[in-house]
Amino acid sequence: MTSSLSSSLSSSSPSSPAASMLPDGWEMVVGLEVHAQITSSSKLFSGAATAFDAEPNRQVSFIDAAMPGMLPSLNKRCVEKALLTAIALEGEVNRHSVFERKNYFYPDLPQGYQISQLKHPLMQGGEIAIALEDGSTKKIAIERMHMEQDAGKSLHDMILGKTAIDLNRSGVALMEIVSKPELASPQEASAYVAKLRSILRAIDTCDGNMQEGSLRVDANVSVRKKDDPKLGTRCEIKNLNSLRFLRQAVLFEAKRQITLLEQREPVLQQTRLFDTATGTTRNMRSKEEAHDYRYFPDPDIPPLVIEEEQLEGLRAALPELPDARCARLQRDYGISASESSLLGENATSAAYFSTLAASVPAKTAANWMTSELFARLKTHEVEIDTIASILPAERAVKMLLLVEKGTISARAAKTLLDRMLENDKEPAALVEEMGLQQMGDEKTLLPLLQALLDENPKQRDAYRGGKQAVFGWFVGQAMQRTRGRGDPKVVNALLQRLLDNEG
Amino acid sequence: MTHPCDLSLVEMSERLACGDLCPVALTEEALRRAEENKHLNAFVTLNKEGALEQAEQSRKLIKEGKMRALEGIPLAYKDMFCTKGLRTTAGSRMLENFVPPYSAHVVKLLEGEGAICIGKCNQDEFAMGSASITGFGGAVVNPLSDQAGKDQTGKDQAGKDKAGKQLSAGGSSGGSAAAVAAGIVPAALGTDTGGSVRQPAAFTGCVGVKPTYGRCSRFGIVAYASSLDQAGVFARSVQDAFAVLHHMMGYDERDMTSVDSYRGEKVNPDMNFGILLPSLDVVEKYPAISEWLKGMEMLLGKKSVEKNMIAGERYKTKDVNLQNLESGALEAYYIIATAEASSNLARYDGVRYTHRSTHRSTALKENNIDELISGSRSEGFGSEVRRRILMGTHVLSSGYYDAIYVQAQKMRRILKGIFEKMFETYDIILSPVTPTTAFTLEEAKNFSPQAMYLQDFFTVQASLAGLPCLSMPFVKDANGLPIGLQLIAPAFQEERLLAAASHVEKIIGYKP
Repeated sequence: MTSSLSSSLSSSSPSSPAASMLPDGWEMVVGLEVHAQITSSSKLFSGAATAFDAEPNRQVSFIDAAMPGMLPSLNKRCVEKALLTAIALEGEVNRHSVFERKNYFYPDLPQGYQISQLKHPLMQGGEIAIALEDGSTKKIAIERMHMEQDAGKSLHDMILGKTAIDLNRSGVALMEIVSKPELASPQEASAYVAKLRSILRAIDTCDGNMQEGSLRVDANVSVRKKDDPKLGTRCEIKNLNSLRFLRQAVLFEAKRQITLLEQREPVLQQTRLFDTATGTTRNMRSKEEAHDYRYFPDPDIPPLVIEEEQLEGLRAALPELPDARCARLQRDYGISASESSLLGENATSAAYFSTLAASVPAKTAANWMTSELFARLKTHEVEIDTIASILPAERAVKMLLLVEKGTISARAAKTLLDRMLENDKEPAALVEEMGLQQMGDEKTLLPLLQALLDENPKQRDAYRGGKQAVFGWFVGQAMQRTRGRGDPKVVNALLQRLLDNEG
Repeated sequence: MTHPCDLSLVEMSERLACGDLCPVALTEEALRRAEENKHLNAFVTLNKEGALEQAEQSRKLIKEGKMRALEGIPLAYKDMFCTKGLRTTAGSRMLENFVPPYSAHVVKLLEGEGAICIGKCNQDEFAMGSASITGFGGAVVNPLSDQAGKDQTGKDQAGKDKAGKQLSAGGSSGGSAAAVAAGIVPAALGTDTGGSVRQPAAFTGCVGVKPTYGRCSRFGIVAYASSLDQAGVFARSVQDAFAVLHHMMGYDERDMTSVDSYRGEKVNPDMNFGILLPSLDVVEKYPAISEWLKGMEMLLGKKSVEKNMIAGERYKTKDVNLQNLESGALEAYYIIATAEASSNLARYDGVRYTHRSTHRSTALKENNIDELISGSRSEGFGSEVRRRILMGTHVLSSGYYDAIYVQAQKMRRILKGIFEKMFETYDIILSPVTPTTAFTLEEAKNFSPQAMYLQDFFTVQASLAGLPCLSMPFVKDANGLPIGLQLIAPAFQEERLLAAASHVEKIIGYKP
């Protein structure tokens, strides 16, 4: 499975296929609603700032606090970003979309309504291609995407016995991207979100940070018998904030529903919450308790009209998307499909790779990044996006060139890399300091190898008697005695000569 | 010599410019008159210190030769207009202690021209009403109450039913109308959603103008029904009303529904007036309408009135007829206005700056946020506001939305179409403003809600179509109370409206 780099970094690797996790004859049907916060310095309808983690209520305009007489004023930058997203998702942009009010009372919803789009969303249609475990690709259809405001936050544990309200998030621009119910496993669901996230990051319309809540997922889960064409009753699980929780929640919920059905009990349409501590879901409200949101077109906001010209401009300015980038890396550098998909899903890693490949063979660079570098990023829990501050590509090139020139062995390079991640010293200086230089000098190696043969007459004679396999044992011993520094090529050649000559 | 407060705005300005009149003295006079007329209940808050400070500033600027267009002119604002640092209540207990940290866009524009705010005017709560009796500050009294039914010597005339009674100033901008009619200020701001400037103007004998929807920014005006609300002006003459209105119009990026489409067209002096009069039964039912029709015959001549009477037939299409301009319009108005109000007023929830319920036993208990909100709203809103919120909530509810709200929007589009058609033939449409002249406060308090809503019978059409319109004193009824004339112009034709109204004003010899 070509899992995304970032997902493999931020969560445990996907476990075995879900199909086998469900009882025989059952399948799950999952649709996702993703709330993606639009990357923007100001809110959807006000000029207030949107920085994460600011002091409570420091990023609130009179509009966000719904003071009397305040009116929304649509942020054109947010619209542009949403349009760019629509183009990247290959959806159809509605030239005429309408902002509506979704009315309900909640203390952290100052207006008493959320401005959203119901009947005439900004985009409909579209699709995302995800890679399946067998290497094939599955296209997941997107139902729609619309813009809406975020609500504020109620903080229940800040002041004893009271609820505090933080309106910093109130009015922040969101895109709600709704998939069709076409995902068949927790892995597909998580691959869909990972892919969506890499697209949003590529075009810089959402930073995709799930921990900070800039990307939140609601999952609609239902189950049915495998040959049943009808969809079962669905439950919606709210606010999943990591891919691992998404997979856990979806799987738990599917199993819960199957258990109910197998006991001949109905699945009730509910909105459920996922408990990260127990890995289970619980009922939040049933269909009967659902609000009547009394949607109606917001009279403060004229319909949003999109001109073809603007779309053309945005199409022309669309940055390279992950799929295109992967294909380009594979084509231009002759690396494998799996390597290119690992390297190309993220713009930073693709650029990093290109820098390396300019100085060392592409295959070497690709192999080193996907095996050595990514493994270490995962251990250190570091995102590839911050790589420049930890290991600038120029330093990595210097190190790889030391291997290429034979100054150090590939094995020594691993030790060197670990050290390089801890300090800023030049690779050459570290090699010196750690004594990692390869021993490729005949004068130094010859007496050492001669001694090895002399001290092990049994093995020497066995080889000379025709036991070729013993050669490998000698190489191993030689490397041990040089503490890994012996140049394998020279060691091999000298050993060959010594063993063969005396024969 | 005329008392300075009784001067027209234009004269006032001239005298201020040449130094004959001191802005500080003028403001003091205006404030004194406000105090003298306390019984009218026209003001919720007087801005004594603020006004005098502004006047002092004006005095300095005039002295330095830096006089601005409205320098030193005392004005009053309906309490729907947010005024920075000056309490703004919208006539509601909900906002009894609300002091806005900002001013409405139009207030800022007028301030920028040197206008002085002497106070905030009383009104119906959240601009919902036609009598200025629902505000938490109590009823506004029509300054004409003293003259009604009396002869020139001040004696009650026999058989005049309204003599000696307190009359309503109309609503919802009754306080602003009263302040102008009583000679406290030469002009005042009101808001007009379905007639809230025009009807009080007609009741108090003032000019009241409502510009095209989108002409003035709504930013900073407490919202009642967003798609209908517009700022308007009261004055004692057409010229004065427009002298203020001219400085309020223009695009504001903070109001997405405001527009920048000034049409400075040349106004045709020979205008073609179309007369929009309801069906005969309405004329017969309301004596004021019969008087109005007589006045119309005197103004244009009997023949001309017959010729220009807009009859139903000409505007009949498959499913539309003039009936839509009457009951259809009124229904559509109350559906749309209450729907929007139910949502606009949701922000007053007891959580932030509003009245908050102090029923500690229930409201502030943990997890009882619903009770805090409903408790605060039940206490903070008066009965008419609660009624309209409930109506609006109903028409937007699932199951009723399509059957009621969507139909009302359809009716609104039909109305716009009818007006467009009428303006193909006529330059200006004339109609009555109200079915009756000023009623007594006692009558008002006993009106059923539906009877009160009928006050908007002639005014909601132009509101729904978003058209610029004006109410001016026209003829008088048996009690000597003014009957208004409404002029309606095509969208963004405020200049034409001004020309037409000035023309009529000249003919009927109205003197401010």
